[in-house]
Amino acid sequence: MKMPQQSLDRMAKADLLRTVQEAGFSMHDLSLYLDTHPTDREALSAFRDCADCMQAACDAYAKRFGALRKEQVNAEDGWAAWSNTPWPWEKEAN
Amino acid sequence: MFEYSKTLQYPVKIARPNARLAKMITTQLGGPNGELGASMRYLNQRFSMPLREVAGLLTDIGTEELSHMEMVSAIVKQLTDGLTPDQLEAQGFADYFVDHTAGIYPVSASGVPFSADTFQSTGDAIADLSEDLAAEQKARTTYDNILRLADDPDVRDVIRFLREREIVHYQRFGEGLRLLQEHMLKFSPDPQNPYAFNPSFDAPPMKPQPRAGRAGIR
Repeated sequence: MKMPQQSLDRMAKADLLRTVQEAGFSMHDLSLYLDTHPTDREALSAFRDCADCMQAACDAYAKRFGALRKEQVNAEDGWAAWSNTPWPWEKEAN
Repeated sequence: MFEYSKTLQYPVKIARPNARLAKMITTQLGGPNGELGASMRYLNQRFSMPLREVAGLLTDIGTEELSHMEMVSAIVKQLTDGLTPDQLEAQGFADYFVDHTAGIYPVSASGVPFSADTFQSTGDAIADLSEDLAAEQKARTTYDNILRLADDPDVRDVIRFLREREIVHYQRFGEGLRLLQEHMLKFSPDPQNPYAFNPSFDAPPMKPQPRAGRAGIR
């Protein structure tokens, strides 16, 4: 589930958001499995890949389209990049 | 989407168990002014909040209240840790114990289970924010009353923190209400009257305001 940085930087907004959601969901689903299978090294390695992919895609998205997490807000864009972009329940955000 | 951080917002470390106190404090989990109701109130109301900044405030405070639920539950858990059935009964905990043992269940101090009747989501942002102001004061009063009854310093320290957060939330909701009313005056058919319409239902959707910063982000 690795995604080269270059391709993340060229991805369309909607595709990049999908990547964040897919990698995030894979990571979550694997964590449920790992809760009951904590010694499965293969599952753990898949979890790590998804977590890294999620992180990279999330950062690539924030850099170009606005913060998905508060800690991605920077002085240049201002707080409005967090508070005045569409919330997840707005159609525009999906 | 919600994600979990494996830490409390403020530490809970209670040296002496006290089931009598646990029963009082559990009301701030499942009682009429408790943290579960607070969280559900804000996290439901935010969907009909027309101003994005204030929807963000409801999201943030609603999320913080989930963390406060966790803290109240941690207090109750630690206050009942290691007590025998005899001790629990002697400390007035038998009626809770018989249904829930030493598990966590959202009830008020008098044993009434949590109810969504304790909060509203009216679909009118002015009505909702006005309720939110009252809710923060009611929660503050409940923490005041707990502080009148609790003498354990470990418990009092955490309760004082939670009480202070109610006051901060009250301040921020007041500011949110002011932002919304200012905004509504711009849209109102009667420029003197911000209450001439329901901003969540009647007003045009709020447009993102232009903001400073790098071009290309939208």
